[in-house]
Amino acid sequence: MNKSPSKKSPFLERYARLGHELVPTVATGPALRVNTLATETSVLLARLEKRGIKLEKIPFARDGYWITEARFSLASTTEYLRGQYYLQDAAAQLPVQVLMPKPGDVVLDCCAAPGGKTTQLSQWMENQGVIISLEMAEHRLKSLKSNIERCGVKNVLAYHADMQHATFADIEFDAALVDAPCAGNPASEPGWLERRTLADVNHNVPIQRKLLQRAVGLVKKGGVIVYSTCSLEPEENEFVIDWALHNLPVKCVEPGLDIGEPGLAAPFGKKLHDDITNARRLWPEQGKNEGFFVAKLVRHG
Amino acid sequence: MDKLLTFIRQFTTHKLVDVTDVQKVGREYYLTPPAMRALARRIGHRPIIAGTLLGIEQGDSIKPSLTLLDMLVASNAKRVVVNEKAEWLTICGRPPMFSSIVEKEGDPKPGELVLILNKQKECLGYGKVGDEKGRKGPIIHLYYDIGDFLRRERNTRARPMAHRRR
Repeated sequence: MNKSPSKKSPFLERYARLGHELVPTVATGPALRVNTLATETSVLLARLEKRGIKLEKIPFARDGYWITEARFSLASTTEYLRGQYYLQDAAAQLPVQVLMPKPGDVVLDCCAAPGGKTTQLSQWMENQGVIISLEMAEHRLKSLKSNIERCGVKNVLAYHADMQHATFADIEFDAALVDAPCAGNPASEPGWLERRTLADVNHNVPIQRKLLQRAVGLVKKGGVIVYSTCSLEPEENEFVIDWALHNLPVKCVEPGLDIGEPGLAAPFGKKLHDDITNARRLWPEQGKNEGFFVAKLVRHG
Repeated sequence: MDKLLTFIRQFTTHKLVDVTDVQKVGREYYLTPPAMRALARRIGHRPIIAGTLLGIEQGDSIKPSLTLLDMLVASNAKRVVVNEKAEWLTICGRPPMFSSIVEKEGDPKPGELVLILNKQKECLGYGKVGDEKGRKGPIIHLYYDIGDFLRRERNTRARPMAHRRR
């Protein structure tokens, strides 16, 4: 008997309606990001090559490499333990690259754990300026602390707090990263198609809107807000940005990426704001990257 | 603050930190730059991370951060350099043996604390020098190694994740 529950998943039908035939068995390829706070790229690459680890440059991620061959866990080398690289999906390396924080900036990092993007922000800022990081899930604080220490990050001020209710006196941020909690996607979680329901997706939407609204309110005029999820569902992505474009003082601008498709202009027949096509949607690609969505917003008022 | 300074003095006479920039958050000591400190004051709440972690109080001693170990490497702290096999064993929490030491600096003596470095001169941890007379046994009694990061991850990985974030 040939059971294939994935083929019956309503999500696959939805993706088809959005114009994408998703292969149910699609799986992301392992990748790493060189942490230039702790090493020089050429030095690390030579060391890993000596260990028999084969890498391939990710063309669209500044510091990213796909791991094409490794005979042992890359989370147990001296180089890893000394923070010289971070194991991070190729697509997950994009939001910080889109935000482009500069040394000296004051940046808000809304949902920080386990710290992949926080440590990447610090890398782009060359450990200068301040990142104010928030994480509400207590059980994830240990991994956040551990990764920040391991990667040699020195400019993070972190709080155990819910961004939806946090207060920041009169601080005006130069930029904010809203890597929102989401339902995830089939490429990064085995069994996702069988387990997830549309209710899971819809549960996140009010939280995502609130996080984005709070972040926009805290960023100075002209400041950048990057919104991202690892979800493929329009409700968590294009619809959230469409809501923001109609209700918040922001515009959606080109993210400057060499990968991804434009945000969906009319998902499920609903026409959205014209600027939505400036967002980028990454469908999962076998052995390359998981599903992802990223939008770059600029505050204008 | 005394525990942190006492820990540092066991390795070096150099002044590694300006105590006016050090603040204690729970059991953790952080080097907090003035600009960050000013921001923290404006926010008002107690942070969980406040700059550069130096170490964590553990009983009467300090578990040093990777940054503090690297600061000690940059000072005149005594150290041994171990071979590649011992590098691997050290990050697995096994004490380096006499035969694995390829280089010593500062003439470390039995009973003294010493940093353990790999051939690239990167700190792997620290320990106490044992008695060299019994050469079959471990020469460094390991007190801390960077494999601690891996062991921490294993301890946190089994927790539930309602939503996926990376």
